[in-house]
Amino acid sequence: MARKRPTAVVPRITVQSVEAELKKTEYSKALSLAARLVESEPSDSHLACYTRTLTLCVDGYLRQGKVKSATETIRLAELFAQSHASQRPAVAATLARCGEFDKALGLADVPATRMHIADLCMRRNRADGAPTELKADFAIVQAAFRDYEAGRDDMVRDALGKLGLTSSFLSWKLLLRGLQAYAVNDISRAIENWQRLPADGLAAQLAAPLRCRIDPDFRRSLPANRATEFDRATENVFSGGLAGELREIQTHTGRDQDLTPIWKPVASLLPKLRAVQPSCVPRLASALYHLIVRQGRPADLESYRRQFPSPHDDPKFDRLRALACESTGEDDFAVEYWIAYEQWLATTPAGWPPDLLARARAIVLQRIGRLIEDLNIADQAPAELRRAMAKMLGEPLEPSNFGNPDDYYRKSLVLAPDRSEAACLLFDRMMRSQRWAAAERVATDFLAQQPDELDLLERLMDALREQGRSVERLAIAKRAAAVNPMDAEIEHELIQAYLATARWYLFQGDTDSCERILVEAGPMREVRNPAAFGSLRAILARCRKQPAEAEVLESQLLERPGLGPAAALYLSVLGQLARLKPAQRKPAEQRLRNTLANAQPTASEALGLLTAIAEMDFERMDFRGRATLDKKILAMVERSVNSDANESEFEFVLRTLMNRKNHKTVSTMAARLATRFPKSPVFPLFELQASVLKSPGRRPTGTMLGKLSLARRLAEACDRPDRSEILDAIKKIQAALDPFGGRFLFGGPFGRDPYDGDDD
Amino acid sequence: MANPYAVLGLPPDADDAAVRSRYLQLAREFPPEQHPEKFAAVRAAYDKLKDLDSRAEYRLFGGADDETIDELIDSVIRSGPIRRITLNELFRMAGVSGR
Repeated sequence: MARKRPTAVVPRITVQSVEAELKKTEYSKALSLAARLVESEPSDSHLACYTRTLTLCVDGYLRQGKVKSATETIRLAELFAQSHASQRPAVAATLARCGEFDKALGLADVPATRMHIADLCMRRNRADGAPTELKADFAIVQAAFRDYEAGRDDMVRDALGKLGLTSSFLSWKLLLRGLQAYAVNDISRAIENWQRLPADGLAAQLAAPLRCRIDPDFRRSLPANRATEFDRATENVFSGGLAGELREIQTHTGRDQDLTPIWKPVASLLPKLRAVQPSCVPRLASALYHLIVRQGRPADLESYRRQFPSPHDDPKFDRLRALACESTGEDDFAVEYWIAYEQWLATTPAGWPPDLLARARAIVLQRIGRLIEDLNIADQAPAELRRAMAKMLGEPLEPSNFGNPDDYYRKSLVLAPDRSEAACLLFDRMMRSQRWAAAERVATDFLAQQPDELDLLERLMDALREQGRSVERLAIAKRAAAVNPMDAEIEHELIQAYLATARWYLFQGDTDSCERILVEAGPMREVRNPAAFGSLRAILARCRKQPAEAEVLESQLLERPGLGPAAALYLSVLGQLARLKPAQRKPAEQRLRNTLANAQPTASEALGLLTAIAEMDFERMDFRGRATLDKKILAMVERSVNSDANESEFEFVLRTLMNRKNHKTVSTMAARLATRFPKSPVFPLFELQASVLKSPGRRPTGTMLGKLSLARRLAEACDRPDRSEILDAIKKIQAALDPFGGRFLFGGPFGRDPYDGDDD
Repeated sequence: MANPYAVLGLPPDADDAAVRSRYLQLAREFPPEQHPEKFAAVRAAYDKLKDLDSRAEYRLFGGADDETIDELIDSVIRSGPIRRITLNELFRMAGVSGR
């Protein structure tokens, strides 16, 4: 049996398909489709579609200059209208718009046809060929426009009064009335007149750009690009052409664009701007000044100088050059220009109130100090890196010759003694180079004048902790807490300071002072770190020869769920540092040994131990057997990977290990946890970071890159609340991975500061 | 963002007290509930000038956002006088050929 061939699917012709062809300006195709549409079903909508197509094709052909095609289409329209009476007014309108007045009126002598004839007369500025009565009204409207333009509003009113309600120029009367209202800023009357204009008339078309400026409803009804076109069209008229010239300049000011092409239009614009809107000249100068800072070249500065006077705040353009050099990373030149600018400021230029001038100089001096610090960054690099850089450059690395940043910070402080920024920078520099006494002097001098300056109080607190000066640290912490009692970080620092001070007294053998500090800290603060405070109280009792009380305290501590391992650690270490007798220390040490030998520790026990040892790190507590203890703790933490803790508990453990730079342990644990929690993006990320930080400077391997893309895939698929933070961290790592080798610079998985230092 | 001195209507040597007093006056005049945009502009200007440090920073490094070509265009259009638009200009603006 012969197989039936599939019938070809012929697309059905619809009004939409005609519209689509018109949109593509495929006029002959649109006409052919519209004709077939009428042929298939001569409904009212199809007839209207054909008429509309004829009209749009005539307009389109005329726009394209295809007069012959337009004429043929008009002929087609005429024939069509003769056989379809309902379409005659629409076709007549088209004929009227094309200047075929007699044919149009012959087809449909209706007001709309006459309006289109009137419109064409106005457009052509002549009325030849128009019916006699239209010619008379045309003359009235022309005269009215002349009077309006000359400001003779009374004569306009008189003239328009002659146009009756049946006049074919009624829409022009409305347009003129609207224009008159607009000229005297009577916006509502202008809108009212223009709202009455017939939408298909020329007057409405002419009023549209102005109406778009003042009639929000009309503006909203327009497509966005049409409204923008109208804005552009009107702005030039309203600015006397200035807006157009400014736009021409603007086209060359995009980010990173070369500014060379702007100077010619600027030169041509300036005389007009000076004449018409002189107040805009300094504003243009300011805009161009900042453009040069952002993306200019030296030649642009020369062009600027030819057009504009020097700014009174920067007469030699030193500030401009300094800022421009900073933006291109030429810090050494930037320093030179800033120094020159500061010297100019030091000459007490006019227009600067004295206090503002001193402050500005202080800010510039501080900026110079910062830039010099950045230039001297090579000084801070490790010796090995300095040697490698010197070898590569073929000469030894020399520090910059701009002097010592300290001096700039000091000068800045002299000029603005209440600005904490310079004091902080100076303090930080001194701390970095371990000039403790000098740093302390900077802080105390500043705090003598500004006792509530938290930035300095916090820095001083840190410095005193580093030096183990607990009593003074506590005094500063109390001052800081008094300034801002609601600050959680300061409160935490205060608790640590109480703890450290109480311990210090205990280790000095001053048990009364230790007790006093603990009482002062109060139970509310002790509760924040029960293992540390509780064990301290137990050891205090032992030092005071109160073994029974010590045992009660110890057993209370050790029995509290999750606190046991940390308490065992504290009791053992504090006992040693408080110089208890070996017999008194023995039970605590045995307890710690048992704890560390636990084959199946839980994640919370591991975390407790880690937190305790991290606190000891922070407080720089040094004791015998520290290194061995550290190894045993890490081994125990590693064993906790088998416990039944959840994902977030392990994350917390790994984060604490990362903070302690225990990269090897992190690497081992993260690899196992990644298998155990295959949907978590965090563990591959930890593993990658730890392995990179274990061997800084190593080239990224395929395995590392694989882990990175795995972490990204998992992060994208997960619905964790911190998903975006993880993705940001991954992006940061990807950006930091240097395919040509070199150090990886990035922080922890949640945007912490870069880790830098030794591995465990 | 316009020049903050212009927004607050203050001379360049205005001190802390003058800036604060003017800010409070404008904040009363343009409460945020009724004039959110104007209040935001006043507040932003106040933040740039509120103390000596801010004013010095603004004088040294500010201004980059104050004057953009866009704002200049806006300004030249706005500050153009309200005037009679001629019929020829109407044709030009509407992009209609003929006259």
